Amino acid sequence: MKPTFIYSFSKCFVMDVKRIREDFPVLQNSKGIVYFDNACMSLKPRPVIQKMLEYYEQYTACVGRSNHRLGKLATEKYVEARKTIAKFVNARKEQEIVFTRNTTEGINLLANSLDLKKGDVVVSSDREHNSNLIPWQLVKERKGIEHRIVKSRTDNTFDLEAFKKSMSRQVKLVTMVWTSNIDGYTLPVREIVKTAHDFGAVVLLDGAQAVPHSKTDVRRLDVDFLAFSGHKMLGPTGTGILYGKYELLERLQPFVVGGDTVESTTYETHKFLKPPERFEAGLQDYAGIIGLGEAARYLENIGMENIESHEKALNKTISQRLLEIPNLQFVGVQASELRGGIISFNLKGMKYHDVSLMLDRNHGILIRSGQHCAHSWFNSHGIEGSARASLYLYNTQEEAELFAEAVKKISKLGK
Amino acid sequence: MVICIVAAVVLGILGIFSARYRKIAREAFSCVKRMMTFRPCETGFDDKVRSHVTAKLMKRNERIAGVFYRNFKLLSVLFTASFFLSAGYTAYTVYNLAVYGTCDPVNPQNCVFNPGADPNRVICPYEGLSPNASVATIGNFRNIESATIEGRPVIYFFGTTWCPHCAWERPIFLNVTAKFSGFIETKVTEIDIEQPTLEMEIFKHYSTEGKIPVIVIGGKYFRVGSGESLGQQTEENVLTAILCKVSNDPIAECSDQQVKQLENGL
Repeated sequence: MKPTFIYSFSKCFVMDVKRIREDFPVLQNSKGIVYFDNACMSLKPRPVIQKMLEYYEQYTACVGRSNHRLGKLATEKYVEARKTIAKFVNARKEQEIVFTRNTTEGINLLANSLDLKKGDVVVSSDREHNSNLIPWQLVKERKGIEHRIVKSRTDNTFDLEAFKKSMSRQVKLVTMVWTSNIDGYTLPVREIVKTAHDFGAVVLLDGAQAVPHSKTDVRRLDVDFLAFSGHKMLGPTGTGILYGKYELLERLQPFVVGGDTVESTTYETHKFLKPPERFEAGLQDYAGIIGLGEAARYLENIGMENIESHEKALNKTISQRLLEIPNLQFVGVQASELRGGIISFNLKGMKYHDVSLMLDRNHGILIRSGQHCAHSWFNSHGIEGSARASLYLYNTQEEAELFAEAVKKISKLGK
Repeated sequence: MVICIVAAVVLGILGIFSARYRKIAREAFSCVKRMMTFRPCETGFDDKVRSHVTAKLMKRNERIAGVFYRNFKLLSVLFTASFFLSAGYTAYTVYNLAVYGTCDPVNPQNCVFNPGADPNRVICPYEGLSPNASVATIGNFRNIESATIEGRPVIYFFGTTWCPHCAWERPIFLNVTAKFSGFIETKVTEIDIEQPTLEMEIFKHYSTEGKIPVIVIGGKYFRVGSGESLGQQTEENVLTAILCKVSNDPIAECSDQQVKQLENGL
């Protein structure tokens, strides 16, 4: 297998995809599968699994509570994981990293903790995942805020002008998807953050599809809150992160409360701990978080820029080949340069579920089909759903060719 | 949509024997219920059937898979209709087999499945013999002599209402014997309905294994089985020839060349 050469400004990086694939047990155990469902769940490399097993086999204990040797070791590893992830996103300090179960929980935490009142405005894009849409619909129902949606342009790109027009002093929060899980399009987040700050609003970004696939620098971006998932970045299932600027986290009311969120309690009162512990009630998924720390380390070693370039190259190959199919329609943005590692499409005359089923049964290619938890976008565009292929660091050019060939074969059914 | 009906029937039967099919059988049934109330199948069962079958077909022939995929609705209507048609016809066949011993009473030679049928396809087995039918006479003799009544030869036909070979033979027998009316005595006995003791004794005497139909002519000639292997025309001629012989050529037809030839062969 040819290694992928990526040229940066000053040096060449070689991402040895073949070598990387050997680290993933699923690829070794299920030979012949082409895993193109990374926008939903990424595969896990052996070092991550190993780290989790180590916790379970060698130092299973409570973190931050027990004073014995196993407890101390578990706490040490847990804190180390938090530091690694803080470094991964270039946070100022590790206390700005709150562990959650997933992106959804991070967003819900904010929706329930932010001090929003009647008359406040929350602005979102028109291509949000349900996890960054429904919480704000509920806040609207419960607190009477206004939830403003910024419509995209007809070519499905973000309309910065419309966004600026929607901004006002009443806007307290701008919450948007960074990279859309529908079509892989990345919003102009730098401009969005700047504009929001000009109006005194804070910004929450849904980074579930962005953080695992490109370099994240929260300080450079100056984003106020960033929610992303561990399971989409080679980490264990049930792990997620909410990054928040420390001074903002300090002002938030906790959402889920209980053990390990307080310094002390009486029967009538309580004294909350500082962030992030304030938001991490009860015993956490310690094995998962320690595994997540390892996943971040694994990705750092490979280099996020390398991964991004690799995915873009694969997407280019696939898009070029898919363009040859006459009854194929891309869903969302049309140009492949605007997509990261996600390709959403429909075949005329065929149901999207049939496409994915046939790709799986006849070609061993695993993709997702449906509305991808973004029903609002599909409903507003009158599209029933789509088939979606999503790439990651361990996918190869050969797989890309196989996929395009298989889709071409299947497309003939609908003619 | 309609495919759910066939699927529900087939999977329902399979589900009786294997737990593996019960979940999907329930899904098929719920699809049928939705269909009855003109609502779409909520689990997408019909779509799943379409895509699974198409995926399998694609491995063999892509063109056929495409035709199947695009015309699934029409094909499933045709398939369901033919399923019920063939199920109905199968039920009819099984009924015939149970009642008449052959799938096709009208043309029993067409039936490949004929329990107890004879290889020449002329005999039905009959096992309903009453062991107590007999007429005792003097000195423990049993009277079965009934070859003639008032000088006229007695012609017996033993059969049943359900035996197809009897059904074939009976009309020919009645047709031929009617021509000799006045010169012979005809006794047709449906041994599954009426069992006069003398006739039963005669029947048992000539059909020792209980096969039907049986024709006994004037106590001189008898045959167990129909004349189907001869064909209708020949059977008519044969019967005519024998009846001519035992009744001394009473009718004009006994002078017929073919009949005369057969008669000379007796």
